[in-house]
Amino acid sequence: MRKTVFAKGMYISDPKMYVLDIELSIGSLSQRVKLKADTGFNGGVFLPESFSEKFDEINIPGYPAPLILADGSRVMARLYLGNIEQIDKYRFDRAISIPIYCYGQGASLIGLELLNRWISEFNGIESYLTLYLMG
Amino acid sequence: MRTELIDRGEIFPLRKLRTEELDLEKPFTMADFLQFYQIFDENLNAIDYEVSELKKLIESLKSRSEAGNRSLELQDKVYENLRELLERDYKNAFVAITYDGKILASNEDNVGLLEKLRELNYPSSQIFICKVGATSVAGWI
Repeated sequence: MRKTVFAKGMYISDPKMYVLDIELSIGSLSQRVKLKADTGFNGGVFLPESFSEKFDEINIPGYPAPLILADGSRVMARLYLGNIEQIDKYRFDRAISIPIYCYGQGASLIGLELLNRWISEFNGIESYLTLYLMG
Repeated sequence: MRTELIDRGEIFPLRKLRTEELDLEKPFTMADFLQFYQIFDENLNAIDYEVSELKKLIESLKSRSEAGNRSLELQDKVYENLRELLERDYKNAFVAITYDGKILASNEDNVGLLEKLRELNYPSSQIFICKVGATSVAGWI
């Protein structure tokens, strides 16, 4: 089976993580966000609560859903249906539907539910996160 | 986890702050900040505004957190009442339940469930989403 590189994420040192430049759309709203690849998060996309306020303004329904944080606490997040239109320079022919969790003031993350769709190769410090499509 | 060095009064205009690492990504960061740092300064008045803004923020975060905890308690009670049915007929599925105990929609994945809910157009404030057999829909952020 052939694998083709379609996107790359940059390594950042503070915090030590890879960042992917992603275009998200939700309802009529489209926005480019930098999402940190977090293999400890088993969901799709995690955004700070401030996005929830933006989505409410354009009447996108957000549903209460419990989420477990790394410290073990269980919190009430809001869950939205969104799409990934583009990663890095690669635009998908058909946008990928994703769950978007909004909670707190923390970082913007992309989790395993999405990273597992492709081959995600972590190439080590000060290098790239490479995403491959199988073909 | 990102940490940031707060010193030399770059963020808060204080001369006597200790140089410490502060976790800026936790919820309640500002509460942690006030609890963690002993703010002693003869020019305390100069930071009155910042302190009062921080206190407002802390109160707002606390009340949001309390509201979240109350919703979780309520959801747990509703789930508990439906547990037998859910664990028999909806094992491992994502379900949308109303607070009066109606199972509105279900799907094996959360995206499918959200698509169904979009079609139903039911008020989002009257529904919660859970994963049968789990205490959360996602986690370990």
